[in-house]
Amino acid sequence: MKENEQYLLKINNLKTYFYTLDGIVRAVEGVSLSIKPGKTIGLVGESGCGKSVTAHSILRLLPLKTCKIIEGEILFQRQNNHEIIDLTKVDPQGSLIRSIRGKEIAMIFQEPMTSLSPVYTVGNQIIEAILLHNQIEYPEAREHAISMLKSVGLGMAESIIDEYPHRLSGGQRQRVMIAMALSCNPSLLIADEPTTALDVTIQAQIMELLKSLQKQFNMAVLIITHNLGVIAEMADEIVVMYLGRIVEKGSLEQVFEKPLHPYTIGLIKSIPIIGNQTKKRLAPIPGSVPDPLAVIEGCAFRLRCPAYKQKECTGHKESPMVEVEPGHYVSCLLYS
Amino acid sequence: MKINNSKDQNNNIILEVKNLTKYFPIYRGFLRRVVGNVQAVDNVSFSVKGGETLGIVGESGSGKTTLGRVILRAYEPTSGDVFFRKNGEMINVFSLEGSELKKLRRDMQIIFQDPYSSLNPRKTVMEIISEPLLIHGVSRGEELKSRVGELLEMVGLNVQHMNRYPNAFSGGQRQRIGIARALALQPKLIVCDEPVSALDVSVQAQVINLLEDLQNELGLTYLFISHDLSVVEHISNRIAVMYLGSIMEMAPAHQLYQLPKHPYTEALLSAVPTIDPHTRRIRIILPGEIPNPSAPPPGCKFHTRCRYVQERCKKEVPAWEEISPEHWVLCHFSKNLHLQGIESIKV
Repeated sequence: MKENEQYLLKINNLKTYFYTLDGIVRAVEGVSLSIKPGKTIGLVGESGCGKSVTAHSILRLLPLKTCKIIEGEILFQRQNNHEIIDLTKVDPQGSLIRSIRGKEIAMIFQEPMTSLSPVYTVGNQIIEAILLHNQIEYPEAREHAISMLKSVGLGMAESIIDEYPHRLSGGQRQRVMIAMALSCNPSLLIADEPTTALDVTIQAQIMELLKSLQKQFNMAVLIITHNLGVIAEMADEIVVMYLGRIVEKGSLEQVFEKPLHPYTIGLIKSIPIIGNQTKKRLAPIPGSVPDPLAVIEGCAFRLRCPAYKQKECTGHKESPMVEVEPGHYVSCLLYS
Repeated sequence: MKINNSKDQNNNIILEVKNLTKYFPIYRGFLRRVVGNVQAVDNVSFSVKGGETLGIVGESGSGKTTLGRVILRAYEPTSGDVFFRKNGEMINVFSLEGSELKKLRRDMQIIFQDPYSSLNPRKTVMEIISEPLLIHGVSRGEELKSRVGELLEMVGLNVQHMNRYPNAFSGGQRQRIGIARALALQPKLIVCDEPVSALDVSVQAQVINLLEDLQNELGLTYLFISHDLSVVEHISNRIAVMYLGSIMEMAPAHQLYQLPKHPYTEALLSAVPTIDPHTRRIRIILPGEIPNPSAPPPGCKFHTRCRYVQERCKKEVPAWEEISPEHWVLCHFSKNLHLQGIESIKV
């Protein structure tokens, strides 16, 4: 396992399925990716592509009854003794995963409005996490919570700590979430659409904040978003997902400057570029994301792919992941 | 305010908003006394030419949705006037009542943000789109059916799917149903209230293209409300920037993005993320949060967060001035400031 040692987290061929009354939803269908310490990985894709389920699989936060990880491994290197454990084998309700959640892998959720409890003060909620994972007394934990709130740029931390979430604005609540996530100094932060519910000016503040805190705490970040602009500003590496599969991955420059997969090309072309004076017509990807219950034979993107329409590609089978240039992988029959 | 009365200039104007204000009262206590007002739209004036798209941008709570709805008279205004051109004459929308108002509503329609909650789940697509036609007595029977079919075709949906319920459609398709419903009465003005914000990136582009095609085909005028600065720039001829109920700046799209004249516009543009990995914008981080709209700061509303603030800004309310043709600004110092536009720097 020498190879794994430079990685903080390595996901190998992960498959997470949901068993619903209407059939099986193959939410994650063979995802492999790795995160190095201190780096930021951006996971991009449209709704229903399995990006959130991938993140929830890491922390084992999926519903127990309807959802199963049926294949693959998630190798995570622990903080203290650098021991590597497979998170897919861990009991999702056991004490081991609970010592990792919030302590070593923390998560920020999309909606700051709903992910804080309305009946406890924000201080209560942050201090709870600190006391749970550290052997310290309440006054010390409160001190630490205040310093965390200050480090996320909440000026009046001493008074905000005793406020209930409804008294705070969306941007303030998201900062509280970040303070809570970072309070135990995690080695990996999963940020699931951290700025989607926020206005652009607040989004800019939160992005700057995350970047500076990442440097300060030297943590790895897995950022999940559908906003290509946010990814371009935050990530070192990009993973593009479509229908539960990774279609392309590579460094930020590789994916944005030389996108290879027709889906990535389509995504980049379909957003209007700001400050662009030639008002060109947008080039959308035809069709929409298929029904998650449908089983698609062959290439999953076939039905929306321009190469398939022009008969340049038969799309008859799923393509393996090929390395086109060092570090730049694509899963497309056009390149294999 | 300067009103240009020369005839040929005004001929093309389809909508004129003058000093429009909308306050929502805040009630407290047993007697439901009014203790304050949320100043959602505060003394807003502008005009829209026929066939153009006026984009309205602003953060949440800036009053852009309220503005759209007051113009349609979904809300009654607190004060001010809205004039709409009908048969060559400018009619005051707020002076109409009853059947007169109903007639006017044919010409002004709305497309809503959320395609999931704006369509009745218990009605078929046929029923949803035919409702305005029935209410206004435009057509019925076979004619109605063929008109609905026509509308569905126009927005790129399959006519065969007329009898399905909204749950059978994806987000993008639902938004097309909403657009077909808005088009049913052949309106002249459509208020598009964040029509693409709830859609996925790839589908968003489809709907934007559709709206542009329909505008070219039918000569529609759009009031396009959005918080997405790149989408607004793409679709609009002119753009108005709102903050705390006031329009801070209004100019042709290109001019506003390249040469903004209001410090708020400058800060807003600098916050947009770039997708080019080699360039970055010089970020102007606005301190604090958008103030409470029931107690906006005195003087210039933006002075609490403005980095060019002077003593005068804290006391005097700036005038809504046209500093160059078509470029309106609400700022005391717009002529003296040199602000950065959307251009970014290489790193």
